[in-house]
Amino acid sequence: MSTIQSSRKNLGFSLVEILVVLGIAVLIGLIATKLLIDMFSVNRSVSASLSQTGEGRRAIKTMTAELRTASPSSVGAYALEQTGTSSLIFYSDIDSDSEKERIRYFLQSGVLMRGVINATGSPLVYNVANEMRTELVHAVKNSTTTPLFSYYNETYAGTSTPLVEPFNISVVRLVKIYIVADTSSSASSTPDIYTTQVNLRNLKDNL
Amino acid sequence: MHTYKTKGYVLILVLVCASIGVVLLGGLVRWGITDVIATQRMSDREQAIQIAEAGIDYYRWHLAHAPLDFMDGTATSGPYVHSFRDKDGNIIGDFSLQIVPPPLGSTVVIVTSTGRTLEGVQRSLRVQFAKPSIAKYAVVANSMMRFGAGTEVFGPIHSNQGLRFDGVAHNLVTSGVATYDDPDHSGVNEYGVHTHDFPTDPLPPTAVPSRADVFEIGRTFPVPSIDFGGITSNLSQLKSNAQASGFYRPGSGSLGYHVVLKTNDTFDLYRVTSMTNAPGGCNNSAGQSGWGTWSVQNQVLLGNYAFPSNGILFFEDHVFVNGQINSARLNIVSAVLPDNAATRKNIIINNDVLYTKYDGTDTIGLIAQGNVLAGMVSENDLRIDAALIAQNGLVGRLYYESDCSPYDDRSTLTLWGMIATNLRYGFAYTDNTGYATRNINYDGNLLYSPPPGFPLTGDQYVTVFWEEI
Repeated sequence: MSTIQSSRKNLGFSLVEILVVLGIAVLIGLIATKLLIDMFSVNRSVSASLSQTGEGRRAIKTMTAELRTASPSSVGAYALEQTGTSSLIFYSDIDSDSEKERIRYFLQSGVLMRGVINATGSPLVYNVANEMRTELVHAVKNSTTTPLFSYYNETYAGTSTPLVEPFNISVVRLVKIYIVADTSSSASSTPDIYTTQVNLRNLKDNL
Repeated sequence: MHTYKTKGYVLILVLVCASIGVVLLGGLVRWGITDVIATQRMSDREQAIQIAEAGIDYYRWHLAHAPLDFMDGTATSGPYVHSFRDKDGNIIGDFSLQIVPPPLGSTVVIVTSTGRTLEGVQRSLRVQFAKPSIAKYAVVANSMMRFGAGTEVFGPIHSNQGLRFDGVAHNLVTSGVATYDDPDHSGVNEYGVHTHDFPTDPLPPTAVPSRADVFEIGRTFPVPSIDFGGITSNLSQLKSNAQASGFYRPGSGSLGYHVVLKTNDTFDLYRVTSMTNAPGGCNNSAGQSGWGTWSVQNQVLLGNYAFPSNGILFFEDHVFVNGQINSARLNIVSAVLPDNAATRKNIIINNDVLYTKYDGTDTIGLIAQGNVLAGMVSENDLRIDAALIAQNGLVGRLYYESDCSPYDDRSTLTLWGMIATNLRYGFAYTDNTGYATRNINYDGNLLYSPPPGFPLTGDQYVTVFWEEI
């Protein structure tokens, strides 16, 4: 009995036992690590996508509100100044000071920017040097086949194709905004699309 | 014993990781839910604004059929609430209208429409409707016009005849004719609106190029003409308004009146008894009709008067105007009715006519049945803050040749307003007499609030301003 007892005390773990224990420990460790990594990466990507959604929504809201009320500038220039596929310049009173601001939406290294110029001086002048720029949407991925801005005349009935350059700015009645944005660096991810159509209320001339 | 201790560590690790995960994921879920709610709210808000717009459209339609009804067909002062239904006839919200009728002498109706959904989300729009006045143009002419290189015009430009434009236009350029023969150069007819800024426009029927560098917004021709003759009926309306609650004076019995505007809402009225003599040799060498020095030599003070309540001053004689206003809206008319070519009267500006506020509070309209002139002894640096109409004549300066020295060469003319002229306007001549520098600035406020009783160019209300409030 005593021999057996002492022999059992000195036995220790067999190699198999150690391997099994180590294996289980590694497995648990791996799972825990993976869980941690996933947790942070999911957190990162979901919060990035949510914040981008918020950014896109805010941009659309701002642009719609500003563009809807586009009206002749404080010096009498036409409501729209430039209508490009990735840039748009127009006049609108965005700060309710009774004077129109010159607003420019444009792309700069993948960022949709907004530049605002307040008219100054007497007589009033829109000085380009005074433009204040803010970033609206990051990681914009519009291609040549998906223009950021497309324009329609008064005959637009929901399905017609946009106006083709060159066209007279005076015929534009509706602007379609189409933002393709993708913060993810992986090629397989589906980009987010924010789009809306804005009817230029002050240019409306049909009842 | 050892194995028991190690077991506990794993459990704690898992619990800690899991709870961190739950907190993070919980936050994300909540963020996601907020996002969905925000989207729902955005859709409700969109519906509310669409309902509000329906209210605006409804009232514009109402005005098109009942132009003088500002009470929505009722006899009460509003607000007027209408239900809003979907295509199946179910009520999905309502809009409430508040209507401010136009003040005397104006056509601006302000309609505020508040759209409400059943969820109680509401948004309000404020729209100004007005019958467009002639002041919506920066320059409008009844004869052929030419704008040289270097001219920059911000407001819309229109000519009932052909228009040659070599500068930069930041608004629409329109003409009443499809093609015309430009007298400034020989050759066949050219397009109603054309440019000789390189490359010169092709001749009809070659397609009109876009030329966004000259016509930034575009050019349209032919468009309906502006009826200069029709302004006569406006003049008789202005006369009766002036006699009723404005300021009216028949002929002065002398050479005309001189009005000096003051910032305390009054004006000094003088009778002009003699005009400045032209220097020796200075005469009407160009044979212009109505040539004279158009400068006051002697005058007699008739009195100081308050600006009339409706802002209309009507004189059946020539009127010299200068001075400054502060928070006033005036329309000064010089005309003899019924209209007769021999008795047409002029408005002359030899010294500054100024506003104090440039935000649309101050407005002056100067309507002459004949010409609106800067006289011979006009200020070297003349500033005119006013909307000018020369119904049958020209807006400009007559030809004072070099013998008229020192009055032949003037330095700078600055206009803040608009010009409507029957004959070709001009403050300078090709021999460099007249105003060397001419800054014609369009006052954008004229678009929304022209001077009281200013001639209209249409009968239908149009939207002049749309905004969300």
